[in-house]
Amino acid sequence: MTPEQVDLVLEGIERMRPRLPLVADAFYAELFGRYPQLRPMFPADLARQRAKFADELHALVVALPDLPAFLDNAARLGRRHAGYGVRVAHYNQVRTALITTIAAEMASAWTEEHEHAWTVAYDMITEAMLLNLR
Amino acid sequence: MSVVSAVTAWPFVSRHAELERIADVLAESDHSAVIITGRSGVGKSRLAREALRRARDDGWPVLHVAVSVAAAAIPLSAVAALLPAGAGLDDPVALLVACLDHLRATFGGRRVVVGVDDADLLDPASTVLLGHLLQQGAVFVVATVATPAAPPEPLDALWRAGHAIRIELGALDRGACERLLHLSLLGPVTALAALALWEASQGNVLYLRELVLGAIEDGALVGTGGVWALRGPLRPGAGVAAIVRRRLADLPEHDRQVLDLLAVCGPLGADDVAEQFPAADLPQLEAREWIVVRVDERRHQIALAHPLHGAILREGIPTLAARRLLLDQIDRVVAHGARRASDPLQLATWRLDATGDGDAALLAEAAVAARAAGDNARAKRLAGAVLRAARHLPASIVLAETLADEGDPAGAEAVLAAADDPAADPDTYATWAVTRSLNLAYRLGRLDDAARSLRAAADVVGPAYDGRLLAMRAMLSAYAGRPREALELVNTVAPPGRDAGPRTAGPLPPGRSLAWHVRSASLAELGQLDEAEDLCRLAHTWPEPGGGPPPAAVHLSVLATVLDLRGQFSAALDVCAQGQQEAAAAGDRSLGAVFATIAGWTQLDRGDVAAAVVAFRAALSETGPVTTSDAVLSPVAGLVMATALAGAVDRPALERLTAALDAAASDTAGPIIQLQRALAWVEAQHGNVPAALTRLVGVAERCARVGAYTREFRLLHDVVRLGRPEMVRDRLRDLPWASEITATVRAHAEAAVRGDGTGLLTVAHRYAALDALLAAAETATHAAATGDGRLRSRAGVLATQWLARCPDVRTPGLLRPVTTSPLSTREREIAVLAAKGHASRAIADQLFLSVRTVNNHLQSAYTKLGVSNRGELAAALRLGPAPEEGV
Repeated sequence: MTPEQVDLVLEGIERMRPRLPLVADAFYAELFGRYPQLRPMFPADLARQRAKFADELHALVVALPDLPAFLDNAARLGRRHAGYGVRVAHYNQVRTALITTIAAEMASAWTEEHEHAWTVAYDMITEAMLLNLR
Repeated sequence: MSVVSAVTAWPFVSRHAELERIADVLAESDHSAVIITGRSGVGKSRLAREALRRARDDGWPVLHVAVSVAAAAIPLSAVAALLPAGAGLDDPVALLVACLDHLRATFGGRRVVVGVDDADLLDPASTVLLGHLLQQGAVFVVATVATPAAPPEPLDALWRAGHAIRIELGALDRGACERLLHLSLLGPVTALAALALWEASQGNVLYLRELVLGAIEDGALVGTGGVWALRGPLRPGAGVAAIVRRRLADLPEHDRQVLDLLAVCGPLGADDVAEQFPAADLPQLEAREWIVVRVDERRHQIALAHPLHGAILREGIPTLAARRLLLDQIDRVVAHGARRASDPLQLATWRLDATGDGDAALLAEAAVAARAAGDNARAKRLAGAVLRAARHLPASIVLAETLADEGDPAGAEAVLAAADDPAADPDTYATWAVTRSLNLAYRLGRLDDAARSLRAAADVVGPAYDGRLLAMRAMLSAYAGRPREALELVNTVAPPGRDAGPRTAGPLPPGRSLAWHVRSASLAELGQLDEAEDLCRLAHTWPEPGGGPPPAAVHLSVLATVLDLRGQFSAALDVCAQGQQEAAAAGDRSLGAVFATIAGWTQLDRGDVAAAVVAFRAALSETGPVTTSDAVLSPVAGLVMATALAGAVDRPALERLTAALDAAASDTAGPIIQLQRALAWVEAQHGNVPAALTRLVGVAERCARVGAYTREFRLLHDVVRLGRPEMVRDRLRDLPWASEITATVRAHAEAAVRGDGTGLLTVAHRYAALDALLAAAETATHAAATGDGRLRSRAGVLATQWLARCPDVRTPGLLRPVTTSPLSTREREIAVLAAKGHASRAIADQLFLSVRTVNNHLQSAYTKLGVSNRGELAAALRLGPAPEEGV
């Protein structure tokens, strides 16, 4: 990521922060709408899941400027996801749903730069989660 | 942590799907081998190694077979790890039986995962043995084979029979390369550096690694403030060279000759090459990715596919042989009549390469063309060659511009000063004078010298060139922070109005773009934002013929500033991003730094200190070692201001600022004002608010005198934020420009003077609507301290919410004491524990109360603070610090 891209996503996550649980709801709706086969991988009741999602997304993104902390954080999360049976292909499906959701949340503030920065940031997160899986 | 060791422990990126697939195949049992193919350096061995590691972690027995060219000469030495000690090698059947027994005894009859790197190099005996072991189901093989070699027969047969899978690894894509750089360097890489590394490596992991290690060693790739930037050319390291040489050694002689010619002469017409080397197998060279064919000027051109190959090939060609190749090529083109438009330049370049000299006029022309094409390295070499032989004004200008772009303005000034030639043609002389003056003023901060050199030039060229020189003089006034004077000067050159638009285009006076830049920048300073914006947009879409000066992207810098002044922060940041891209595309690092700096100040206006620091650091990583210029002062001032807002002091930056203040040529120059603001905030953070106010008010008065009204406004706003609105309220009313931001700040000052809590809260909402969240949080804090009851709690909650989006700031406006706590001591005690996540039961136990009492107090605290859950409670309490945290 370029320093400017790091900047853009940091700014975005803080802007969304108060609404992150709602973003999480929208994300799950988007994800399961696109890929209903993924629904059984998640708990029936998403209430706890949404808070977890919001906290984890926020924690990962704000850690981007501190790479060692970011890597630790992502590796921990990555191992947990491997334990849930998450496969590499799932990460791509989640990316599509997540970027769509964030774009909708940012509405008119969303630009091509944002899209690029968030995609790159997501790929960084995925990469870091899949590094050293055990 | 040592970066080199981090790079050496190169993270395994982007091949996770392949790794997963190998694990799946191993688990399923209907396959017995995986063949990983791909070119040298794409990461086959690494994938195999990671796959074996994962297999071992999954509980498989794992053995690694190391094949080498040397081992290939000794039968079975490669597979020694599979053999029992002392096995007789002369009877193949007995050997196989002994081997199977050995594996069974050692691993309990389980299938053994065997890694075979470079399987195509296995000696025949090892290949046969491995084939038998596979047939018996005793082993699972993970093999790598470097394309274009074929896998050994037993593996190939398995694959054809559907019992092996093949994974073809390609180069990493650009995104993966950037991630790899980011992860291994442990920090972001500037767009320019990432692009250069991607282009040089073409996604070959090995090349990329060698390039990065080499560039760090050379000092070409430098990490400053956590951001990596490129400061010099990339050089191929020995490791890459060795790989490429090995591949080159396998090529037939005439194919190699084609590559040598391309390496020395650059891209050539496909027909010419085919005619000259009838025996060469060009399709094969293309298939093996040695060459690429592209359509250029409506003909097919052949070029080397990989820039690194060119460098390595050239290293292997003796000087005299290279000279021969060049001279022969020149003869051939001349014999064909040298009819193409680009031929004279091409010939001049070749002659320079062959003989070290050439026709000065042609070389200079080639230098200008190379610079216009963004090829700074070539421009520099060509211009340097011209100047070695004789003085040459256009060549000096090109050389100086490339030096300045690369962050060496002092070198540029040395070149320009030495080139002074009053006998040159007046047009070139005027361009020289403007280039020199611009470099002196903007990049070196030497305004007086810039003015002096300009005056001297005016005497030489006479009144016909007054327009261009006057525009530059106006520019100097703008740099000195005297916008009114700048505008008056520039109006005498190019009268105002839109009549100069493209519709009336005829021959335009040179210097128009510069004049427009001065006008838009001055209008922005005076607060005439709409006119400034129109002019920026027009000038940006309609650049000076020949590419400047100034470059077209410069107009975006004023546009970004205008948008920031209007409070359109995200639009301003978008324009900065666009400007950075345009500057990067032109190889202009100092202009890229300008956009990073403006983005930093915009982030500060929003209250995002962390983002501002990143932007300022990125700017400083591009500006090089100069210490006094505007280009450096502004981001340094920004860093000091940002750290001050975060409640800290960046000592080294602060010292640089104080030194710069003493040396300042003009006390109203833009960066000097920024520097004064930064110093005021440092003083305020040290508790010396009166000193800060005196400084701000004094500088604001000076700004008003020269017409720098937008800068004045920022200083006045600072005074309001530091809690003394009455000092500036009248001036805010009379300010000669207006925008949503000025109106908001004016309302802020009025409400603050009246002590009107409701009014302050309305102002806070207006700031928030502008996305100026820090100002919103400060104003809401003030409202909370001023109002009572419901207003206090509402303002408090809002302040906390806004502040949560400005991480790490601590300004005086946020520390305003809340006069009386709305909570009783017991309520606060319980609320603090609850906010920290303790359950009511635990709180009750801790305070020796009943759960019911705890809940009653908690409910009462919720009501008083206007919150409805523990999360909001935590946020609301952070405003008035909890008792044990002190104030």
